[in-house]
Amino acid sequence: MAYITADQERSYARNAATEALTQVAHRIEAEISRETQVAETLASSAALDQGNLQDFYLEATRIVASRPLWETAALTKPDREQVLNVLRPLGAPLEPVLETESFNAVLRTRKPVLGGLGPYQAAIGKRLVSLRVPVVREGELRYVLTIGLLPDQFSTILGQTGLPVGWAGTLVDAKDNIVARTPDTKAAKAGAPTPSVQDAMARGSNAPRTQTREGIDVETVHRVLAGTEGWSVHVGVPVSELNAPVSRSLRLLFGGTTASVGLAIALGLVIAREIAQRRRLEALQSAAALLDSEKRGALAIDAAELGTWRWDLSANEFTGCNRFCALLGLPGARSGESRWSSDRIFALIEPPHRAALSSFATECTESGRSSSVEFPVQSNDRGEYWLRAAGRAEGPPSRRHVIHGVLADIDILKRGEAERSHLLRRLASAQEEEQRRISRELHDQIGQTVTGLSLGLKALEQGLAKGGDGGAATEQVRWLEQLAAQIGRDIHRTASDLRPTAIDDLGIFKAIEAYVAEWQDRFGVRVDIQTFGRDDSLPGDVAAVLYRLVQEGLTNVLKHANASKVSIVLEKKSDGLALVLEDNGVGFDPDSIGAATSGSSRGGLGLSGMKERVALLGGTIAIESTSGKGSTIFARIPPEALEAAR
Amino acid sequence: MTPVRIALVDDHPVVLAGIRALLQSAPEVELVGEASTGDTGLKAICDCAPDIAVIDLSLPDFSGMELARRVNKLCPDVKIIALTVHEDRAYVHPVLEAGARGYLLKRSAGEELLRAIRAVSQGDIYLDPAIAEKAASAAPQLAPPGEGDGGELSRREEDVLRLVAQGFSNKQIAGELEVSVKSVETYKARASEKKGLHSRADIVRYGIKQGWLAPPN
Repeated sequence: MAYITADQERSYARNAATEALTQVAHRIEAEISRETQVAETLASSAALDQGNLQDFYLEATRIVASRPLWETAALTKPDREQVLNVLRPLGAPLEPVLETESFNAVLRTRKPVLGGLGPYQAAIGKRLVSLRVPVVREGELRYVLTIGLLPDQFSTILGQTGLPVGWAGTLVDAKDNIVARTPDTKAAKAGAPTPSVQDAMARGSNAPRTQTREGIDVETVHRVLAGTEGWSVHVGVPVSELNAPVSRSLRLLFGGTTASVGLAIALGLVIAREIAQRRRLEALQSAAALLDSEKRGALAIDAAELGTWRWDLSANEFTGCNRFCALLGLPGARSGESRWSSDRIFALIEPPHRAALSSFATECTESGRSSSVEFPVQSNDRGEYWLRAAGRAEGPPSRRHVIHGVLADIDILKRGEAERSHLLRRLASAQEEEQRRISRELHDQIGQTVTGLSLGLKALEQGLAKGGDGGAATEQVRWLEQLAAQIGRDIHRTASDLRPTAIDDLGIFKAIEAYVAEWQDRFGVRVDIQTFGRDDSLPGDVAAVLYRLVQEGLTNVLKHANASKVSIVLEKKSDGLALVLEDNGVGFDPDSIGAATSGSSRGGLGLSGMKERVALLGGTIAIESTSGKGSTIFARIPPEALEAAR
Repeated sequence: MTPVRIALVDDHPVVLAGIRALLQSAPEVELVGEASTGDTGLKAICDCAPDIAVIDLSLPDFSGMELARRVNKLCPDVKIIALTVHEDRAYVHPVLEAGARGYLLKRSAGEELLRAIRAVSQGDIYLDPAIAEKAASAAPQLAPPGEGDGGELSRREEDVLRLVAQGFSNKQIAGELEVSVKSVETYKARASEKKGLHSRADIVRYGIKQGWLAPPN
């Protein structure tokens, strides 16, 4: 029994560590790719087109100052002669390149290379990580731009990924030098690979049980970073931490990483602009704003339950976090799988939508801008559901082969959309029906009365021409006056039906009270109405729906309820708007309501139509009725709908 | 007898022409000003200082109600008759509140305008007979909330009554209090009887008195 528990704990720790590792790795990859992109942007500076070293020196100095990770930037000719280093005045004598391996790699591949932790530099008293980028003009490699990155800053990034307290994260270069370590950064300066890391590397498998320098029992996992020539990230979870609630920390960690993926994109843009406009202040401000938005982004992404992923188009494979796996129904970290072939991912998507994902990738790589795609996937337990992937490929056009992005479950949105369009269609036809009714009323009722009036006038004219007796003429005029009054009333009623002007003039509560009073007089059914709250801030559409609800409710009472008493309550409160309409009539079986009201005549929309209108405002209608005991309609409109139009 | 001086504000030329014709045939009134918008109306009324201003409630720029309010403030000596198509009783009170002394429906203007002018110029309030008729036949008497037998509400009964006042359905209340819908109905009926409440609106009024409904924001 004890064994099983311990084993479960360990497996939980392993899963947690693997998940953390994925997050940290994505984050560091994003950071490195961001720095590479900035370096490439600097390498493509217009100042180097004409070999204007003076301008380039100023530009590079500015950017080094604005990048926390950058200690220096240097320009070296292919023959290893250093021509410029922003740590030294322009023109000062400079020593040749010390670390040749990565330098030669750039000469060979003409691609950016991230070197390992370099030798100790006496001049600045530090060891730097060199990021080397080719400066190519007219197809010729003119210089190698070398950026000296500060290892301490990698520690800071590692720290910012939000690993839970007590967990250890280590960033190791291709030669097993520790570049950064959290929580203890001194190791980076010591420079020696720790036994735990070597152990982890030697075994080459995830999750060995080992000990840290401090002698703490830990579970470690590691992962080689993409695009870094063999750098790796290691995460260790102290076994003693197992009982701590780690899930919360993991969520925070997750949020930070996803945000940074997006930020890498944004920062690249910011820097490019900075170079173009040469405004350092703006860059600093942007950085501050981005830090702020990173915090907000982390919260938002956490709340939005997004999965992060990385799609390497050249390797044709995906990596992703646990939530990414869960969203796609992949087995996830537990199975030990951490990467999936593109074919495998495509197979999960409903066939007609696979092309959309392909064109999403094409769009990302061609445009370099953010893009998104929506597609349904099929799962055994959920059936078909919709996901949205959004992402962006970084770098210059020729090097855009990795897309970083997030994955979101949008099934609820999709369903809502479908429901909404259905509702709108129904509503449109209901409106059509209503307009037809009004048109008929104008023709049949008012049109006929006007005909009567003009015929009567004609008769009067003829009668007067014949010089008939005054008494008959006066009677005729009286009748015509009545007809005119009738026309006035009919027009007023029809206009009121179209849009009760009282709503605008008096407010919705008073307008409803007026309507109710009128209705009560006309049909002799007692209505007791009570309102509560202020109606002055209600948006017009809500007011109109409320009015129609009362109209429709009273019409139903008249048609079906055979009631002698109606009670209406209208309450506007902070938690929304409530309308309750109760009668003491015969009642009915609410389950058969569809049959009873869907074919509502007298021009109304029917209760089902009203349900749709209320639903469009995000509200609900409930009906309670017992045979013989009257019925009650409850309509609720949420506070959001009451804010909408303000 | 000096004729009663009248100013007229209406944006419909046909109505203006009709009323002008009507007044011309009456020697006891004199039309001294006309306007077709709220703005020009206010100016005309204050300029020619008539005894009575007849104002259409729906004007293109601002409402007749607003015009009445302004006239009442700027030239309080001018008495106002509101001319309107609105037969809703609900309009009457706000219009009188705005400072009008007469409420006249357009459809009865032909017969009633002179009577309205006469009444108002003598200091009376004039209400269109069609409206007054309705007001008289108003609301079949609602049973006033009776005394009830005055019994104290049990805790459950009070809970149910409070939730009913707050607009919840029986089913929701049943869920909230974890009792059956049938029980909710019983509690509600018993509580209503104790407090002499005859309708849901009565219950809400009772709830407002008890302070059960949170003041709206």
